[in-house]
Amino acid sequence: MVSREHSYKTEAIVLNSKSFGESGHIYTIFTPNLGKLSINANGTKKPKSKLAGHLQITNRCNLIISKGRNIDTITGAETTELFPKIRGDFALINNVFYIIELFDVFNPINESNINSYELLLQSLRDLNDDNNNTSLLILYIRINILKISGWGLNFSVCNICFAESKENLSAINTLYGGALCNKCAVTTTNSLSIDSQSIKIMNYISIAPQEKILSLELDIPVLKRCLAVSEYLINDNLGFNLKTKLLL
Amino acid sequence: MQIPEQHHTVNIISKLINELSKLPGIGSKSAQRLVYHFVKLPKSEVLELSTALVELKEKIIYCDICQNLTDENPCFICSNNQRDQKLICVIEEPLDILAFERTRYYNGLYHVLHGVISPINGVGPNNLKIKELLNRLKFNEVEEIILATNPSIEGESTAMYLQEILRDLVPKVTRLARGLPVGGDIEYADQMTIMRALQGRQEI
Repeated sequence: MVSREHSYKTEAIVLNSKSFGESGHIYTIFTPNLGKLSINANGTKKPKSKLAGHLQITNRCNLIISKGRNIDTITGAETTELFPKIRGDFALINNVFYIIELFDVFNPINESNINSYELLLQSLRDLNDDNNNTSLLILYIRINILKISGWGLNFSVCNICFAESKENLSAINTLYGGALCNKCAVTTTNSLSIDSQSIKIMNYISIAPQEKILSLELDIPVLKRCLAVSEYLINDNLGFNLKTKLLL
Repeated sequence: MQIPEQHHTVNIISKLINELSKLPGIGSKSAQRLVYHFVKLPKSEVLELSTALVELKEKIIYCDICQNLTDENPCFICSNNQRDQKLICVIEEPLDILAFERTRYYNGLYHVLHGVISPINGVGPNNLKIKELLNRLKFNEVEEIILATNPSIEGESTAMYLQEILRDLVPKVTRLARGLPVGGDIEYADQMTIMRALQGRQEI
């Protein structure tokens, strides 16, 4: 039976906004149960708009949305969580934009992914509380967003011969689903060579909880290597470079 | 048999409908209404409109100094000696100048960035008229720069970026106050607006 409800309520994190019409915006919002949505809001360019302040990028808010023929319209908004520290730090804002774009491109419209929503929410909280581990957090997000989206890689064994000796893991190949040992790596093409220590760290990051990861203390060269590999994995999966990364 | 849609309308009409529907905020229905309105208008009025559009593209240029849209270079604001030449208000878009001028309160100059830093839309500092602002500061004595970008996250990050690079070049860099709008209702204000209003409170 077709629902007679003309409106619905949801919580959401605002991912992006684009100017629309005379005085409104089209907002890209990410919700826990409805996935990513594109929603219209009228009058949000006006100074006295009751919605605009609540619909700022990164804000978590409760929304009342009215169903429309072509596009739904936000009729009520109330901020439930905002991240003021993020707005006060230029370097942090750039990283936040990068994280938001990651979630935007990895979550298709209207596909619910509660784990992805929780990862984004927790990441914004971490960035707002403590920005010392931003690089580590970005590494964690890159590896886990792949996993949550169904493109996770296995870093614990060789994905061809399934040998478990972590010391022999020396390459990553997305086609084979993750790490490869010395012997198998030479038999493949397009494998990315990487030291076993970095593979171990990436394996730990893919299975450990977020709060444990952020307390890790990694050597800067190792962290840089892991970041470079994780960026390669993201770009390889998407097939393009993220716009925000080019500006970081 | 269904007749193809292009047979319903004259080619010139459908071409104009197509062109008008490319404009922001105008869909195909509105474009159709406009086109049939043009058909009914006297020829002189349509010619006036088309001449104005052609002139717009031929004569409108960017002012070399403030980057505002103008038909004379420098624009009437930059060439007005009655205005305070040591005060520059940095704004996002040319339309913002109209908002400031409507107040009849501001008597300084402007600098139009033509956008804000928005990494998510692929807009970085190099895509804005920031280099032109820095060049302007080399040849003019400026005492204060007012950063008047919108209080959105992109506007804030642009202001922070500008504050960082202007700090050593200008004695005073200020930001427009943020808070409750005149005639607004505190009950409906969001947390960030109330926080900013509290931070910027003034003794009376």
